[in-house]
Amino acid sequence: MTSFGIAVLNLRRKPLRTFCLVAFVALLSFVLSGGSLLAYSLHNGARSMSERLGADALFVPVGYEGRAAGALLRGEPSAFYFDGDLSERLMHAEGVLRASPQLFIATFDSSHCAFPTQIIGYDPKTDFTIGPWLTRKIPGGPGIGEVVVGSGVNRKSGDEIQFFGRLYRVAGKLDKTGMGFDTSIFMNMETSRAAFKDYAYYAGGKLPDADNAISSITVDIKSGYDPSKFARGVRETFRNELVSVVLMQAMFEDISKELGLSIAIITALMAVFWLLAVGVLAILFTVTLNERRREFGIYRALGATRRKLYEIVLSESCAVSLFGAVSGVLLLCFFVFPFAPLISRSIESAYLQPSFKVLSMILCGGLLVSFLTGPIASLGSAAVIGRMSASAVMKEG
Amino acid sequence: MGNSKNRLAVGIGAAALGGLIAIGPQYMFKICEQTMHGGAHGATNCFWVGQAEIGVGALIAALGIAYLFFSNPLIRAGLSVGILFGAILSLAVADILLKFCEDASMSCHLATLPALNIVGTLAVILGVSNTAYLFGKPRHTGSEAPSNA
Repeated sequence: MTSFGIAVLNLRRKPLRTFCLVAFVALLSFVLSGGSLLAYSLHNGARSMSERLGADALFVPVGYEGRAAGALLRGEPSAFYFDGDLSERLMHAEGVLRASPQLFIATFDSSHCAFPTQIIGYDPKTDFTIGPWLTRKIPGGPGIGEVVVGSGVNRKSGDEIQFFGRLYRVAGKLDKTGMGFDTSIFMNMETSRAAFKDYAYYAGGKLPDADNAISSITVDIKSGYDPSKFARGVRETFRNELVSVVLMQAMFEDISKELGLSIAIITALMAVFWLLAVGVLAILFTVTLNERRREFGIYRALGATRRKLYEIVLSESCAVSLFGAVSGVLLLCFFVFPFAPLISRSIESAYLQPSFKVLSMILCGGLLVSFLTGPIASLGSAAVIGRMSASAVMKEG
Repeated sequence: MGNSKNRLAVGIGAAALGGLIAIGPQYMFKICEQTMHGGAHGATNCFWVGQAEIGVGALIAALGIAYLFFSNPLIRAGLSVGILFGAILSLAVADILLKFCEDASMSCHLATLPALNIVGTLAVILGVSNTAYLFGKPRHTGSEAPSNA
């Protein structure tokens, strides 16, 4: 009989012990694969955001910097507006290379399964931040009465969607961005101004004239201009109009720092957990092998070589690790993947699950490391059993 | 697996899964909140999925409880098939027959639907594996009678 066959029979003979060992390796595999996936998705979200957002700065009314970032990063519905017709003057401020206005409208909460949604009106002629995310280019941008939806909105091209009692046709969809765009709705300026009138009708209160209203302006700065000096200059020039400048680079650096810290903590916790797992498994294998000295003595008496004992011990740990590692990854796929959108929303940060290829590599990596943990942990005990002389083993047996 | 162990494991398992299907959407992985302006006419699909799952889940739980009281393998196999079909119906209600509302960002899509799919799939696995186990088992026909034990 082969060493692996004997190992499998040994494991089947002690089902409770085997189950506990397999469950422990499964937990390790689950934590390692899940932790790696979480860390990679956070990193992926931050990278995707900084690579494809495109704008250098954002002009917003003073006091709304945080809400603009919330709308951009997490899709938190916001509605804020510049007072008066500032659009043209801001778009031609000193140092501006290109600029595009945006109009933010927040839909209302409703009892009918309608979550407050961020509507963003944009000018497809001047836009350079939303267009790059489109899955399929729309020449001239969405038309009047048409919308483009984020990847998380449950509509496809040709469908209809209702806001403020009015139906809009879906003209296109954005790629997954890992940020607020995923749950937002985009319209051209003309359509959004009509929606703004509907919003003003329902919201009441003091709102600017729909024909001139804008919420923010995305800006690219001319080369050679220092971003901080540019921001200071704009604030100075438009001091009376209460214009604030959000510098994207600075915002992303802050986010990257926070995410970097989170990723470092996750990685450190995984490393600690792996070391603990190696230690615990090593102790478990040592204890169980010490209890089985009589059994190994009988093997030697029956003519098994040291190598054979070594092989049996390693085969047992390999079998336990293999079952545990595969079970852990399967549990992760079965219980965690369906909740990926919920996790993404709970994290409230840039979170972008990797492509299938990268995902498979991460899962295989977690599986391999978890699989190797058992044999590594049992090497010491296997060596002790293998090194013992036949007479000593038989005497103890 | 012995008769009594099988009865306990499958009966309790099915009762627990059925209970989760029935009360989960109401209290644990909740459907989006509904304010019933205008009575049932104001409710969305999510509300009706929740109501239907109460019935289907209760049926699976009842079959699981009944499973605890029968030692005859053929009766248990029949109950097991019932659990299997109930689980399939639970999945069909949520994914095909009624479906949830269309807003993918609502809690019913983020939490209730995946949770119901997981619980329903576990119930299907339980039903299929137990039915196969019971039909594959050698039977002593005529020697076993329904018991209340």
